[in-house]
Amino acid sequence: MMTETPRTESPTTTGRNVTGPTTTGRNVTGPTTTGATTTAAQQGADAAAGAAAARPLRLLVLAAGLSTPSSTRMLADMLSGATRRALEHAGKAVEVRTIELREIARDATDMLLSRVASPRLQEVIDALGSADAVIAVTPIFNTGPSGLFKTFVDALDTELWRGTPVLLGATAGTSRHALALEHAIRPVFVYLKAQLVPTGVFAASSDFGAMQADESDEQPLALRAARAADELAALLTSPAAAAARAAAEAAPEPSGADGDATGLDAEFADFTPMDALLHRHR
Amino acid sequence: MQFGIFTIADITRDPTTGRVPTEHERLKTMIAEAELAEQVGLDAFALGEHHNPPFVTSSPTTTLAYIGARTEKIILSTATTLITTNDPVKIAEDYAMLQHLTEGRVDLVMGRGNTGPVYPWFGQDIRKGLELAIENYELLHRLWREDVVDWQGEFRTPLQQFTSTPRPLDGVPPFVWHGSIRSPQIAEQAAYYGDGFFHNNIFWPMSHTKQMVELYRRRFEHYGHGSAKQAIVGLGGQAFMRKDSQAAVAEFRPYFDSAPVYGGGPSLEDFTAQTPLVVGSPDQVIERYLTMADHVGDYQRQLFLMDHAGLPHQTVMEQIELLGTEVVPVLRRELDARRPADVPDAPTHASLVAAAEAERGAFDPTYRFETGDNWTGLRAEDARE
Repeated sequence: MMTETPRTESPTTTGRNVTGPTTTGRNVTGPTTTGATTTAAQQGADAAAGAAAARPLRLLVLAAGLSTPSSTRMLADMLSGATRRALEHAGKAVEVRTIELREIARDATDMLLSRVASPRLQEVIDALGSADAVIAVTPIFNTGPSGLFKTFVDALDTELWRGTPVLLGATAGTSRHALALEHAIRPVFVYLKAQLVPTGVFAASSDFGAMQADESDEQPLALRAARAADELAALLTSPAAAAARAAAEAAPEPSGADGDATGLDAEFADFTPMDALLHRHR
Repeated sequence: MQFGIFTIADITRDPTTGRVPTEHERLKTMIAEAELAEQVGLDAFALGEHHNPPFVTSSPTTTLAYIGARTEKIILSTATTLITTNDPVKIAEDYAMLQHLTEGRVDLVMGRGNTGPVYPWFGQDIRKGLELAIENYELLHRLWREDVVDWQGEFRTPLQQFTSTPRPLDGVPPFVWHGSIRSPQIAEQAAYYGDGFFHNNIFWPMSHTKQMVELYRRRFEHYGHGSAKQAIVGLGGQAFMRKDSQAAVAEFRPYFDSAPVYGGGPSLEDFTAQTPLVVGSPDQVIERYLTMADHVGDYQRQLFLMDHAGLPHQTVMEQIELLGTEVVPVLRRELDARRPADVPDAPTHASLVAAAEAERGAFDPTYRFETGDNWTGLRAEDARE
């Protein structure tokens, strides 16, 4: 499903680059040179790394609950709160933004049907594109993610999620639905090439009451949320992640062949100069 | 600047009466619409290409030739010609024929097509769509410019010593626009050849159209065909008009709400706010379409979609009349006035011939090939000996 999605911070058109520190040309894993003058490129990269380190992390929370209050929103708040605590414990500031998908339900459906993103939906798409991590929580309806959740994901450009750290949550009436998260929701984000934290957090209605270890047969919800949050925080604070964010900040805007896509959205740099293509065909 | 209408020859139920036109009726009304377009002073009529229901335009050059015989001045164009699933040899032949039959009143817009199954029906793979568009057009470009072609490529069988007939009229091929909505590679292709770039525009936000056109302009300049502002740009558009704007909205709403192309998604109000669709008075159409050049620069062709969504034939004729008599004269005057002298007007056969003459001298139409007996001898049995 193709959409018009400006990608604002990617060094490549395929989304976030979290594969390693090599994009800046600077070796962050080996010993730095001693006694040598730093090059201008290295100073630029250092400055960018500093800038990236200085800004708060952007955590986007997507909750697909249908009622107010909703247990889905409660789980989402629990997960974002735990993630914030874990990050602050590691010395990282974080800005959390929570979006109730039901407020853009019609916009998402319109996007699926007409491929036109309303300004409101475009704003959420932009927030997703610039988020450092996403917490996505959905109720389980009929053994899978809710239609609202899936409609939102289906309406978007599949490239938007590539490489994004994602923490998944799900809610349902009873714990019989717990593995639906692993069987019906996780595969969606594996396909989308998100960077999933290993722990998915499922909460049944009864879990919101069982806050003490001796009140439930299973591991209490709070402990599971904390474990998942720690995993997400670790993903976000690893040296590789920090370097990737620095690379994204430092990377020049995608400029296409001969710089002719400078100043345009990243997708417009996605072409091969004709000389190269026609030579291939000869 | 050139103005006109385009049609995709869809067969759509009129939601207010339940009536569905027959294929025969749709073809007849389409011809009448093209004739009226010329009568009200429009410059171009463009026809789409589809190979499945609910469309009736599987042989566009047949239809355009018929219209060409019944008109005198209007330019016959396409919206679009499938450069992916048609054999480029056939495109070269069919459109050169049309050129001769209409004294050059033809140009065409290359498109990749938006119907997945058309690829396998014609023996191609949709995953190779871009490669097809590039290789096929390269061959087409050569077939029109080289009398004898040897060709080898990935997507059709090789050609040895092939001459595409007829040779283009006056030695000048039909002008080509490349149509793309989403793919920057096609903007790059248009720019490489110095061809025109046509953006449908109608279902997409201007923020996107404007960037695609900007990319095409920059690459046009990069390839040395002129400055970026001199590139050749066309836009699609759509409108439904009545003298009274409220009446236009009330009349069009049931068509909008039911039309397959609007998807049953955003409301008419949202759609008209977010895309170039204007439903209202002729003045409102003028006002909106005067702003397009602010976004894409001075451009050369503006086409309008008027006959879709199941609108009855009489209504469509009224729309064309309003377009030609009330809207286009104002747009033409205003847009021609703002266009600087060094930005070219839309290409015509005459302007292309003049340019070719200036560069290469007058064209000699003398028949360049062997006449005589090369049409009795070929039998399959002879090849075995």
